[in-house]
Amino acid sequence: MSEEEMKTKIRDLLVEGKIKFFVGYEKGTNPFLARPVMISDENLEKVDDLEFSVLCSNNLTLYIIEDRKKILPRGVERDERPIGLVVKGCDSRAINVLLQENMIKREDVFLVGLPCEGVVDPNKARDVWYKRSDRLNPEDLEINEKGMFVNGEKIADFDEIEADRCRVCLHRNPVAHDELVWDEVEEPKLETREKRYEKIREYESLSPEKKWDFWKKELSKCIRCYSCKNICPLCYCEECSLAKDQLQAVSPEEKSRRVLWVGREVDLLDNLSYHLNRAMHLAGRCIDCGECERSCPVNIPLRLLYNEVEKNIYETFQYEAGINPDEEPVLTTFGSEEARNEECFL
Amino acid sequence: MFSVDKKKLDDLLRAWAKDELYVPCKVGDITSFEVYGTHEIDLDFKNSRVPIKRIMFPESETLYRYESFPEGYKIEPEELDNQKRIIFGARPCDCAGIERIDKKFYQDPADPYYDARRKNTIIVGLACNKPPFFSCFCTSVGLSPHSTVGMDALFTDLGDKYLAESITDKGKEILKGLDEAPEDEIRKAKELHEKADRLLERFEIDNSAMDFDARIWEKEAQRCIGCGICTFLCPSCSCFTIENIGSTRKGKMVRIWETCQFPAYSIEASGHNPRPNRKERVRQRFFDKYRYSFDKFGEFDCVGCGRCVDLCPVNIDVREIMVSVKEAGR
Repeated sequence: MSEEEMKTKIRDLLVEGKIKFFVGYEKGTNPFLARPVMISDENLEKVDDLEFSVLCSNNLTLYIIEDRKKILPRGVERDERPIGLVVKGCDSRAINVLLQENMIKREDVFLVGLPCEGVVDPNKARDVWYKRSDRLNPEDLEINEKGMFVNGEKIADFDEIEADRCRVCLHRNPVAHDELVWDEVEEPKLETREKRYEKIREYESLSPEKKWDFWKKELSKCIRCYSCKNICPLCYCEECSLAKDQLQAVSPEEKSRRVLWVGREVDLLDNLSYHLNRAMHLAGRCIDCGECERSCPVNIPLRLLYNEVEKNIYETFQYEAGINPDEEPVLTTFGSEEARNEECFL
Repeated sequence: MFSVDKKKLDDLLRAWAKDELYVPCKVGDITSFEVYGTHEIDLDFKNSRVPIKRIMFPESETLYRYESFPEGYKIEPEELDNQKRIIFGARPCDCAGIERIDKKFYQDPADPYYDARRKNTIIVGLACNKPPFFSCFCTSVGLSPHSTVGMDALFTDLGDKYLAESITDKGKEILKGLDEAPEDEIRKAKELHEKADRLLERFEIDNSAMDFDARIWEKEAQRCIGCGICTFLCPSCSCFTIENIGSTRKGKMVRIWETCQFPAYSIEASGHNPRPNRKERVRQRFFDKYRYSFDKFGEFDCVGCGRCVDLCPVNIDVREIMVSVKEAGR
């Protein structure tokens, strides 16, 4: 299918009312990022502006859960039609995790797969642009899979502005999709898995003191804005035990019984427990879409934390999150040999 | 007006460092205001990621400690922070943000914790010769890259020298003893200021065109992920929540930054939430910035630093929204 055919298909689905709305990407005012756009039958013209490019950084699966959480006025029934959305390789794995965890059913979503050879990290691109261009207005800036161009002149290679996660990505083609925007791309070579854990190995080789110093430095930057949690498509709990920010309509009795496991104070200990707890909650689930690290306003290298957990899970269980929707989530099940293992945690 | 040779700046800073001196520093790949001498100083910075409000209104601060005894609770208020501070190099937008926060914290009764820090802090600004970010829009909210709102003194980078201008008595005090600036340096600074002004595109904000029931709030909120970066990093946002940390027997009350973008912010004791969805919360931010504050204090609660535009993970752009609000109202 071509891009144009895909747009026609999406328009048809919306006109026929087969999907509730469609979430894709459009060109926004931030030149380093194509932003999410919701298209329903009210703004059908936006279908023409849908963008499928290297700027499609956001993980849109978040919006399925967001839509679920919406509180409707009394008397209004929930629209149960499926939601259409664009998924890259990493995003489609998030869909699989949601399926495994019974958060959604496959028929709740219509997936437009976007085979992807890497997206731009808006933070990197912005820094490069500020460094190499003396302009204030990025109007004549163009970013594509070849690199970054100002007035047609190349100022950066794509490698320089590519998101870190994409450089070690193992699943470029969506593992779940209904349609593909274009043909599947070549999957990365096997050595990428080795490369994937290079940074982790480097980190692991540090002495405990050095590791502690590293995290002390990084985590004391945290301002506890919770954007890492709020942008995560798999942090879907209606209420987070690590932050009371999402408390929704509850009775006073219920409200008084709420327990917060981690203090909200911004100090190293609380910051550390928040981030470590979150990493544990994402063990065997994190699909490394990198949204937390991208959105972090103080640039904490959060992916290092989650990749470490991912590596441990892979080495212990040979399990990768979000590959097979029919598989049991790895940490909610016991293998027969594990049950007999006396060293078993429980 | 005074003149400071860049070679002698370090001497000046060292002299100021007898108080707690905050300077823009490179911390990892972002700029942050840190105590002089602890990090590598970076005066070619664009702007700090977290605005200087955190120095006077920290992310979290203890208000009082409590402990239960058989005869009742003993409550120990936290000692006020009377440390003398100087902030050097704050951008004009962030300084204006402090002035906006002052208006909120100095309403009767004034907040003693904020007051203690604020009155002991001297803010020395640094004008932007070139607006640092593509998202800058200070001229559209009535400020400029060299505005002196909220500052005690303003520095302007003239290449090999700084032109220092005192704004308040506090500013006069710390600039005492510096060399008078010659006429041509003052003229040069003025030219630089005017040039910076011209670099920014202006758009008009018409808050009377803001319609509470307009479709645009719903439309923009669809994309919002409710992370709150826009408010946490806003130089003029000052909402907080107060949390008990500890147990019912012993603990402390802590004031923590909070944002209207979180559902828990507006939930009431009954469990009712007047702003149940993203639409209401996103709308609240815009109305608070451009309408309510204007009605109450006569100015926008936005200083045009552009952080919320630049750092929004889903590119919700106040400039774009306020322009379309104006067009819709026409």
